[in-house]
Amino acid sequence: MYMEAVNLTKKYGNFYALRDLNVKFEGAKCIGYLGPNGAGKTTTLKLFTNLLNPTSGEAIINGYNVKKELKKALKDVGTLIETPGFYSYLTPVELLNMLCEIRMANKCDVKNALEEVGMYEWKDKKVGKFSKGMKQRIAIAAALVTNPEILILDEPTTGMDPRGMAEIRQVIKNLKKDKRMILMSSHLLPEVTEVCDEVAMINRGKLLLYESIDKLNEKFRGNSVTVSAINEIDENKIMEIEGVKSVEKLSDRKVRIDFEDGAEMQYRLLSELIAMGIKVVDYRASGMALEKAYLQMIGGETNE
Amino acid sequence: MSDLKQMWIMTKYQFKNYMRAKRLYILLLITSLVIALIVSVNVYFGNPSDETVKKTASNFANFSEILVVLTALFFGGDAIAGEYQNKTGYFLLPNPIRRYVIYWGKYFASLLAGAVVLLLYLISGMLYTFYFHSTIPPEYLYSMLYSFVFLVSLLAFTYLFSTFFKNGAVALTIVAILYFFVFNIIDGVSQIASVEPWFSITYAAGIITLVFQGSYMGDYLHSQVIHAGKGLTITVYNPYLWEGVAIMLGYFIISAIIGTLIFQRKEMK
Repeated sequence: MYMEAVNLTKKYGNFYALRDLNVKFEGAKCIGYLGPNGAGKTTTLKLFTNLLNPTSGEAIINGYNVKKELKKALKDVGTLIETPGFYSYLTPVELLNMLCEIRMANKCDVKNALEEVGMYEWKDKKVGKFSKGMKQRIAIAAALVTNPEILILDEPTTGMDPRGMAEIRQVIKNLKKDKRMILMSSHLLPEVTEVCDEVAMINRGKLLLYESIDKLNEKFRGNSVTVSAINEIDENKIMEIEGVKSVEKLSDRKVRIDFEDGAEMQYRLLSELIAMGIKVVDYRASGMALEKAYLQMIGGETNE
Repeated sequence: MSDLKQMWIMTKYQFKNYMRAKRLYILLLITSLVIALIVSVNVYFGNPSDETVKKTASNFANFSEILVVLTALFFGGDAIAGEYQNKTGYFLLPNPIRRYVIYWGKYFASLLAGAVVLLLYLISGMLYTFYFHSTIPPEYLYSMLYSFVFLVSLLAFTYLFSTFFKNGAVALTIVAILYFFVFNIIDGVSQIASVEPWFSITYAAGIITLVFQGSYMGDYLHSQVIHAGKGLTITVYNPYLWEGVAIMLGYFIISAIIGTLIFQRKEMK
C-alpha cells in the first residue's frame, strides 16, 4: 500500500497552497503530517481524497490516480477531513450503513466502529443533537467502518476534550497493529511523537522533511535534562561530572543540566547523579526532538 | 452497474432524509390544504356539476404549475449547496463514488419526493372531476403529463442553481426569486417587445393549462396582438404544445449537462 504525490501542485490565483510536492508514503505505519496553519497540510489531504482538483501533478493511491481512477484509488481508504457535517436526521448506525453501502464494502462492522470510538450507546440517536466532540468521534468511526488499509486523518483530535483526545490516540495506536497506513495531520507535536512512526513536515506548500521519528530523535536529540530529586541538589558537585557543561538551579531540589551531546552521556549522567546520592524522582530531556526539528525547520511562523 | 447501484443508494438515503426532516410531510400537508381549499371554494361558490368537465378539471390544473415550483424549491434548492454549507460533503465526497452518481442519486430522490406530492394533488383532481362528471377528460391526463415534464425540467434547473452556490439558503432564495419574479418579468417584457419568450421555462409551462383551451387540444392562438392604446401593442404568446414540451426538455438537458459538469469540478475548499 502506498500514497504518492508527483509534482502535486495546488494554486489559487498567484498563491501556491501546495507546490511541486513529491513524496511517497509506503507501508503499514503511521505518518505524522506537520506544519503551521496554512502550510498546505489539509490541501494535500484534500487532493488525495478528491475534494480538490490539482492545478498540476498527480495524487496516486496504490497506483491509481485519484482524479482519473477515483473508485479504484479510494476503494480501500478511510478518510476524516476537517470536522465533517452529517445528515442531521440520520442516526450513527444509518450514517455508517450508508457509507458501507456507498463504498460497496466487503468488510463493514458498524458495531465495532462505534464501540472503538465510544459511541455505541448513541447508535440510534439522531446525529443533529450531538456535540462537536461526539460528531468527531462519529467521523472517526466513519473512517474506520469499512476497515480500510489506508486511513487519511486530518487533525483527528480536533474539538475533543483531553480525555477524548487520549482515547482517540489509543484508537489510532490500536489501528496501527492491524497493518495499515495512517497519514495523520496534526498541530500537536507530542501527539505525533506518541502515535506516529514517521513525520513529514511541510510549510508554504513545500515539503521540508520526511524522516522516521527514530532518526529525528538521533538528529535532534536534546542535550539538556531537567532533574528533580527528593533531597537537596548540590550543583557544584554536578559540575564536576565529566561532560557536564553547565548546571542551572531551578529550586533546591530541581536543576537543569546541559551536557555534551550524546545518548550515552545522558545515561551516564543519570547513573552518576544517583551514585552521588541524589535521590532522582524525575529525569527528563528538555524539549522533544520533534519540537526542535519543527522549530529549526519552520521556526515560530504561521502562514495565516 | 456499480454506478447505478450507488445511485440507488444515494436516492434511498436522500429520500429517507426528506422524510426524517419532515420536508415531504410539510409539503404534503400544504398540498392537502390547497386541495381542501379548491374543493370547498368551488363547491361552496359554484356548482361543479353544471360546469363542463374540462372547466372542472382545469380548476385543479391551474395550481399544479405553482405546486411544481414549490416542489422544486423544497427538494432541489439546497440539495447540492447544502453539501458545502453543512460540510456533509466532507462525509460524502471522499469516497469511491463518482460525483455524477451523487448528483443524480440526489436528483432522483428529489424527483421521487416531488412526484409523490404532485401525484397526491393531481389524483385528487381526478377524483374530484370524476365525482361530478363520472369521466376524466383526456386533456387532464395531458396536463398531468406536462406537469411531470415541468417537474423534471424545473428540478434539473434548480439543481443547476444549487451547484452555483455554497449556501443552501442563498441558492433557495435566488431560485425562488427567479421563478416567481424574473421569469414572469421576462414573459411580460417579451409581450411588450413582441418577442416570443421561447427561452423562458415558465412560458413553456403554460401548456399545463393551455391544453384545456379550445374545442380540441391545441385549439388556441399561438400569438395575439392586442392594441393597448397610444400606439402601444402587446403580443400575447402561447406556446404550442410540442413547443412547450421541447422548451422544458431543452431546459432539462442543458441544466443536466452543465450542473453535472460543475459538480464534477466543484471543490470542497
